[in-house]
Amino acid sequence: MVLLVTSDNEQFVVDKDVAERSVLIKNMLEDVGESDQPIPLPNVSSSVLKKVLEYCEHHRGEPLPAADADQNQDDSRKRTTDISEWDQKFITVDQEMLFEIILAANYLDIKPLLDVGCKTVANMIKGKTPEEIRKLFNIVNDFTPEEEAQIKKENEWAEDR
Amino acid sequence: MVSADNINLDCLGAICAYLSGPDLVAVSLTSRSFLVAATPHLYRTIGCNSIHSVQYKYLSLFETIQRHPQLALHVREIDLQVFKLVGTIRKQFLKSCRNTIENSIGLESFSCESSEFLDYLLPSLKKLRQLRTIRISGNLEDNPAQHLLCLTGLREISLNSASWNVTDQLPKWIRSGNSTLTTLCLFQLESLNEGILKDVLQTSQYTPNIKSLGLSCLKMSSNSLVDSNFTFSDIQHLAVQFWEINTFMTENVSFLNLLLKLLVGSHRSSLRTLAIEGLSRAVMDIDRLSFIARDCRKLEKLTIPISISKRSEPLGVALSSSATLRTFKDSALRNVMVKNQEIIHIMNTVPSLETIEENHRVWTRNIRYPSSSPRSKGNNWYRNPIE
Amino acid sequence: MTTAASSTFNMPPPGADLATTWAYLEEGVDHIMTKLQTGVSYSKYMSLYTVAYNYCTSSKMHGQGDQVGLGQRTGANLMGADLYNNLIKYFVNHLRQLREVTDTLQDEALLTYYAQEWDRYTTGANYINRLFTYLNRHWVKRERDEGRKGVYPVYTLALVQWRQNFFTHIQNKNQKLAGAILRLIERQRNGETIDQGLVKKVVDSLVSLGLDESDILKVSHEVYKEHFEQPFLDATEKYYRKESETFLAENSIPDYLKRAEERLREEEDRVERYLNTNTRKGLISKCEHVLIREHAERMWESFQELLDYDKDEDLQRMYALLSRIPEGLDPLRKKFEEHVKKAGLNAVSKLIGQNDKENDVDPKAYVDALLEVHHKNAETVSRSFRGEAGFVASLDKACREFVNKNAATGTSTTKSPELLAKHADALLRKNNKMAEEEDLEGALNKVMVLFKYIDDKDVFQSFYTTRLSKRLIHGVSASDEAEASMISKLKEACGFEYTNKLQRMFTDMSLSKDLTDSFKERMQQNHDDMDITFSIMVLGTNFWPLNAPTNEFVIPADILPTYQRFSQYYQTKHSGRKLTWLWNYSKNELRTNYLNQKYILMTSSWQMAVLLQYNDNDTLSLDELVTATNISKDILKQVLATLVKAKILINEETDQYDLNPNYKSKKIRINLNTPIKAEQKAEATDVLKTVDEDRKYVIQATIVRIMKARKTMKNQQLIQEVIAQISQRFSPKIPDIKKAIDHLLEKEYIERVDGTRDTFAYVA
Repeated sequence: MVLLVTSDNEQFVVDKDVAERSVLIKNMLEDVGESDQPIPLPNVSSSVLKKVLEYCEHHRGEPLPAADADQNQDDSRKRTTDISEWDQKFITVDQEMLFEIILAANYLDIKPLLDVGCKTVANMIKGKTPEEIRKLFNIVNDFTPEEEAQIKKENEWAEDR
Repeated sequence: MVSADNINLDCLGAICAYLSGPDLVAVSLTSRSFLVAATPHLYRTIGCNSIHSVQYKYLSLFETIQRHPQLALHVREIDLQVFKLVGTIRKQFLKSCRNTIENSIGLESFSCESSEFLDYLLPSLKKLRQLRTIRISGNLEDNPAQHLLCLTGLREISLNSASWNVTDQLPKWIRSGNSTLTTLCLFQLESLNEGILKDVLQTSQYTPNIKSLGLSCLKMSSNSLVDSNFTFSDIQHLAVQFWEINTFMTENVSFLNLLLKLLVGSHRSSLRTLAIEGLSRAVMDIDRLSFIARDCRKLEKLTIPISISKRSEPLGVALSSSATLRTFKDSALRNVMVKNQEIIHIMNTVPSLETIEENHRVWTRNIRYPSSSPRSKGNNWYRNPIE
Repeated sequence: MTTAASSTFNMPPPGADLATTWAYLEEGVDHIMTKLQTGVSYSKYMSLYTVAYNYCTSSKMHGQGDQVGLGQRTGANLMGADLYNNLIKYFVNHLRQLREVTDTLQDEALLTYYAQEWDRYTTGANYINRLFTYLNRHWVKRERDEGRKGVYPVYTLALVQWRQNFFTHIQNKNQKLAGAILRLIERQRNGETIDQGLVKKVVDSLVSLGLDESDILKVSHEVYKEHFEQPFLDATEKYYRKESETFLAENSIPDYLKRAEERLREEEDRVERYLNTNTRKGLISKCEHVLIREHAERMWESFQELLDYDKDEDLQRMYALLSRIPEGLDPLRKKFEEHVKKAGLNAVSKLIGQNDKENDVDPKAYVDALLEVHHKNAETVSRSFRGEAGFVASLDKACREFVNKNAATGTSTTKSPELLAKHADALLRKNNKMAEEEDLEGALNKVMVLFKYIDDKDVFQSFYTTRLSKRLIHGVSASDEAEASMISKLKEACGFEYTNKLQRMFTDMSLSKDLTDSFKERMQQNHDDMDITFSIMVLGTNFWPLNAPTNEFVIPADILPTYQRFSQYYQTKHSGRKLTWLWNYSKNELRTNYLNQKYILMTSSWQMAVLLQYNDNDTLSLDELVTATNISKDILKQVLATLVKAKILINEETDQYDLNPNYKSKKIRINLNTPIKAEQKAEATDVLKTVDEDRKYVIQATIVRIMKARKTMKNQQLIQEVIAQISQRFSPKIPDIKKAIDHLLEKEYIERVDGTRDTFAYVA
């Protein structure tokens, strides 16, 4: 069993193999060795960790992606945005939680969870205009009109791809 | 509060990895941080097609890269499709294109359909050490064909309309530094004869890793077949396409049968995908089909010209001798429309089957209504048989 | 718990600037690099990772208001660069401190320090690498993808820094580090005990320091090679050159061989214990060069002495060492060949010297002498030279020479096969002392050992056939099994054709036995007047080396009826076959009636013919006997001499022979049948004559066979081909071949091709 402590000082006791879905925790246990010490997670709040642990619990025992999997996954041509049913349901959360999960997965180094989050956001973006995207994520347009025109012109070639 | 507006760039970049084309353009126009995250993905795959040529958009691409040379560092894939260019515009295009290629040190895949571009562009590929995939016109004169020999460490070689100069070089090219090859495709060969087949089969000695082999030809000009002992050690995907069915003579049928016997016969223990396309149904009979289904113990996807309509019963019996087949596609042209009932019958007879494709329609086990098959993007001459 | 957790958060907040961030990280990095043994807590580990992570992901803070454009690098890259550069700075500083100590350290102390710090450093660097894993995965990866040189994952970076700031610093001072290792190794070579683990650690670190710029996963041995391997090989060369010269000045070659063998084994062990395995090849070949090649001449020179004194172990050692260098064994093989040849020749000369000056050498002594030389040297080959093919060839070549040509043979090529065949005959005769089967089989095998070396195998064949025929006719063969065994050995060595005749002789013998029986049976049925015992051998003319009698002979009346009856019987059985009676080989037994004691006289046909005359007379003159027997006077005189000598006849007056009425003998059976001189002498010349005839025939047959296959052939080519095909049986002489060609031309088996002088064609 492993004791995890969140940024808001909440404690979670979880099975080692669940915690080790996080490559960060797995590596640390390997390096430092096992002990009763609590493991502080200063970048993760209790509400997010709860969600993350739910995911880890569900996927425990699955093989971890190989260390060099990054290289193959870079091939965007072969990337699909398909998400399995359970994951789909799991990731149906409000936007803030969605981004929190992405951040936590990135921090804790849980690649499959990061992928689910990013795919979800990508699916939200697909088919939208810049203005619609801004509206969706509540983003302020920080380009000057000249800049916008230049970028539009320079990336014009990609419109037809 | 965390939001798309303030999430870190690495995560934003990871999101962009799942986007392409117009979506990425839209993201890049959203905000500065979105622009920064989208740019590497936007320039990951570059190239131009005939639509570009009409509007001269290719110039915007290569000019942009020349203005910001760092963008070339993002490029992993270049795809140049055929279009006509003349005079100074042509010169300008080729120069900026070559410049881009030379700066794209991370380039992994290069596709180019135009042999006249290749004459000029091939030498610039030599120094790119990450290059893994090459899909180009094989219709080259002797001199540019020599440049091919300098490209080593490749995983995939796909050649369109390969000339004699090129097929003749093929074994040598692959022997010298391309034992890494996993995919070899020769498309739209003028004719498939024993000479070319021998060249192809010879490469098997030097390619221990090869998994996919694709051949397509306009016509078959021989009815004899090389008596060859070469076999690829672990071929999993095999595709054979024919383009001019009207000139298909009966004597060629025997050639085809021999070809199948040779290719399918000697690889049946490893074959997972088999695709035969471009033939009228007359060629493929049910008996042959059941042999294939029975002998290829690992076969998962089978594409074959055979008219399903009114033959669902024998077809089901033939396919049911395979325990692994998941996808079946009828590639026969000018088919009579198939009834849903017939598809359901086949599905019921062949328990492993999940998908049936026919006449651009797709059935899956759970959904009993056909959906239209997705149109493949752009020109598909180099279509990888794995896909 | 709460306090433990919150203390962790005593760290810079997200978005802290570089100075604050790095100050915090540096403290942690330094702790890991210098005091890792005091441990790292989970909270320490997590906070360090988090601070590094926060800094790397804070890139969105940048770029605001900066120049916008597609070509801009992301802020994250810059942030990563800061951390990366600070890490470099830290490593540089850290290593500077570490290396100060080394300035005063030498040799073992230096190595101990180096190894200890290397352990500490690499362990720490592994930690740091994990803590900065986010930096590695994003910033470092991107930089490397974009082709930036000199950017590495943090662990690799640490190694690069170690090389530049620590290793190179020490090495630059006169190769202090490599020097220390080399001196330690030299001390071990001098017999001291050293800390091998220490050497191994330092050597392994040099391997780790090699780096392939373009692919960091690849192992590169450049540092190891440049800084250690090359100097090590040079030092090895110097060391062993000096040692071997000094050693040889004071010690013998056999002692040196031991030393060199030991040294080579030690160096193999050295690679195993603490060097990189890739060094084996270079090291061993260097040692082989200095220890063996450079002293090969001296080894070669002392080889003879070792052979002379049968120094088996030393020979073994010399062989093993010289076999390691190219062409190291060639001179030994040549010398060995000479040695064996000389030994063989000496053995025979000694034998001749012992014997009376007479030309007759005892076959057994001769064969034993040759065999002993062969045996002894064959042992040497298998024991000392591990049966190596080159030495086997040398042995064979030498044996072939001395077996065929030595003091006993003179210039004759037929003497050796003759003696060997005689020896074989002696072995296969009854009353031979080697009665026990095993010994006999062994002795026959030994005959085959020499037989292998005989050039003129056909001469042996002829002598053997003659001897065999006598054994069979006179019934003195030791055993059928031994005969069969010998024949099968010959067959194995030379083929079916070689022993065909011999086997036919045995067939004739058994057929004759049957024939005698059936004849006797028939005679018993038809006649009751058979008062003589009769047995017959009918032998095929082509298979038996027997000659018909040259002198006339009147068949005595006493045996004439039997003679006629058998001839008739045989003709009815095999009509058309011609029987030639070989009286000269026949044996007879006569019973005496004229004496008180009855004796049985065993005689030749001639003796019988003479003695039967005395049934009717007591005294006869030479002329009367000539008339009665029709035997020529010359031979008859010798026949009579044997009878006189045996005291059956008395010769008191010239040419007058009387029956001795007072003949007495202790034995009842008296063998009078000793060969007369004329017959004895004939054997050798007869045999050789047959050999010559056979050879002519063999050469002709071979030529015809070759020409039939090739149709046309040039003279030179043909001669070579003939020699090649025949040399297994004998060495044909070129004039003989030419004679045969001429003969075949004459007989029109072959013809000259028109317009050429030296090309022949086969005439179908």
